[in-house]
Amino acid sequence: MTSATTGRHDIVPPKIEFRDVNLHYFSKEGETHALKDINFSVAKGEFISIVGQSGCGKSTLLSLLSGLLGPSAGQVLIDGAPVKGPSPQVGFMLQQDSLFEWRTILENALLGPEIRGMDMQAARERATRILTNYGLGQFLHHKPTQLSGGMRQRAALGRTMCMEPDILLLDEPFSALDFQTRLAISDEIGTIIRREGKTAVLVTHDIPEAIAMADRVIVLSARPGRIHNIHEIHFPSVGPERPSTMACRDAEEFKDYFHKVWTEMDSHV
Amino acid sequence: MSDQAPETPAPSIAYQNWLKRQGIERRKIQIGRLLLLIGFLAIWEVAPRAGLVNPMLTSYPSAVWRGFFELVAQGNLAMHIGVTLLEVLISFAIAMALGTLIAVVLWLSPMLERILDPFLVVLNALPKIALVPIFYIWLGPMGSIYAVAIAVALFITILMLYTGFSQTDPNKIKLARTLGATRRQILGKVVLPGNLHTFMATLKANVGLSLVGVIVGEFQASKAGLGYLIVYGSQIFRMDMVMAAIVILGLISVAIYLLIQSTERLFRR
Repeated sequence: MTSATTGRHDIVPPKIEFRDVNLHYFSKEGETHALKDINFSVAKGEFISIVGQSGCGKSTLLSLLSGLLGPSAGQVLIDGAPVKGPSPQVGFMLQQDSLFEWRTILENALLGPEIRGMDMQAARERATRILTNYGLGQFLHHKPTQLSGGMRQRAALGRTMCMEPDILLLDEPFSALDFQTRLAISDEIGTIIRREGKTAVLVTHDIPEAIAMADRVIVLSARPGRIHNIHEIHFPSVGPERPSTMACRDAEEFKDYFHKVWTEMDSHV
Repeated sequence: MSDQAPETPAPSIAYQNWLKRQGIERRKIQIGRLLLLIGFLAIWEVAPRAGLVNPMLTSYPSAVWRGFFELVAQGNLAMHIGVTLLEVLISFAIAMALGTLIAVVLWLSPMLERILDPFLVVLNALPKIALVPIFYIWLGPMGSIYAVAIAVALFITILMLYTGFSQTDPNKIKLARTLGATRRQILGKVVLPGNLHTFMATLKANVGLSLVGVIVGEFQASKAGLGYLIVYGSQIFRMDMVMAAIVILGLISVAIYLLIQSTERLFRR
C-alpha cells in the first residue's frame, strides 16, 4: 500500500517505516516497556496522526523518528535507511514554540542553519522568504515576546521549515494555544504542510484535530504502547480533493470517525 | 520600531488623573526615603551632643564630615580608596572568570559535577573568613587579601551559575538537539545566552562578597586601603575616621552596583 513499484523491479522504500520496534526505558524506579511491536509505514507526502492516552508512548515514537532516542529492538527507517541521530531532513515542532527570547524572529529561524553550519546568506534569504510567506514579514526583527501565541507558532514553523526538511514531526504543537487560535493555526499549518508536499506525523490527544488534519489516524493502546488500529480518513461527501482542516470538521463523515476513534481510546482506559 | 506612526488617541481625563496619582505616589516614596536619611543623620548628630550616647563611641555626622576632609587633606585618602578598589576589582574579575569557567566545565561534564558536588557544597558553606590566617601564612599580606576575596566570591559564583545552567528550559535544549546541536553548541547557543539574568544576579552578589573579602583581608594585614583605615582608626580611637571609611565603602558598593545595573539594561535592550 505504501510502497510503489517502478517500471523496473526495484522497490521505492516507504518514506517512514517502523519494523517490530520495541522500546524499554530504564530508571531507578524500574523498567518501563514503552512501545511494543510497532509496525507501520508512511508514504511520501502522507499526513498521519497518532492518538492515544497520555503515557502511551506517542511522543516516544517521534523521539525515535527524530533520532533523539534509539529503539531497544527493531528498526526505524527513513527512505529505507535506519535513523542514526538527528538529521536536517527531519523537522520537529514541539509543544512549546521554544523561541529564544534573546533572538529576533529571523535569528530564531536561523538557529538550525547555524547549528548545521549551512551557508548563512542563503539561509537568511530562505528564512526571510518563508517567514514573509507565513505573514511575519513585518516582524522579522521583533523579539518573540512582542508576538501573539499564533504568530509565535508560525515563527516556530518557519524555524523548522528553514532547514527544508521533507519530514515534519509535530508533537502537540497547538496545545499551548487558546482554542480559537488553535483552530485557525492548525488549519493554516495543515494547509502549508500539504501545499509543500511534506510527509507529516502529528501526535495529539485532540481527536478532532487528529482526524481533521490527517490521511490516516493511528490509535495507540496504553502502556506498553501498541498499535490498536489504523483508520483511513476520507471525506467523499466534500469531493475528491482533500478539504481544508476547517472544512473537514464540518463534513458529515467527521462525527463517525470521531465516534470510532473515541470509543477505541475509551475502551483502553 | 513600528513601520507607520501609530495613531494614539488623546488620553482620557480618568487616565490623566491616574497618571497624576501615580506621580504623586512616586514623589511620596522619594520624600519618605529622604526624610528617613535626614532623620537618621539628625538623631546621630543630636544624640551624642545632647549627651544621650557617648560621642567617643558613635562620633557624629559633622565630625565624620571633618574627618573625611582631614583624610583628604593628608592627601592619602584617594590612595586608600584606590588600593581597596583595585583589590576589589581584581579579585571580583578573577572570581567571576574562574567561577564561570568551572561552572561551564561542570555543565559539560555531568559526571565530574556529581563527583565534586558534596565538596563544593562544603566549601561554599565553610566561612572563608576562617581561612584568613592560613592565607596570610601561605601567601603573605598582599596575596592573602586577594585569596580571601576570591575564596569568598568563587564558590557562590560556581553554585549560582551552575544552578542557572542546569535549570535552562529543557524544551529549548530539546529543540536544539532536534536541530542536531552538540553539547558545546547547546552551551553556546542555549545555556549561556539563556542565563544572562543568572550572570547579572551573580555579578551583583559578587560585588558585595568581594568587598567583604578584601576588607577582611585588609583587617588582617595591610598598610593601605579602607580596611586598614578602619582598623587603624579604631586603634587610635578615631571613630570619625572609621565612620568616614565605612561611608566611603557604602558609596563604592552602590557605585559598582549601579554600574552593573546599567550594563544589564544595555544587554536587555
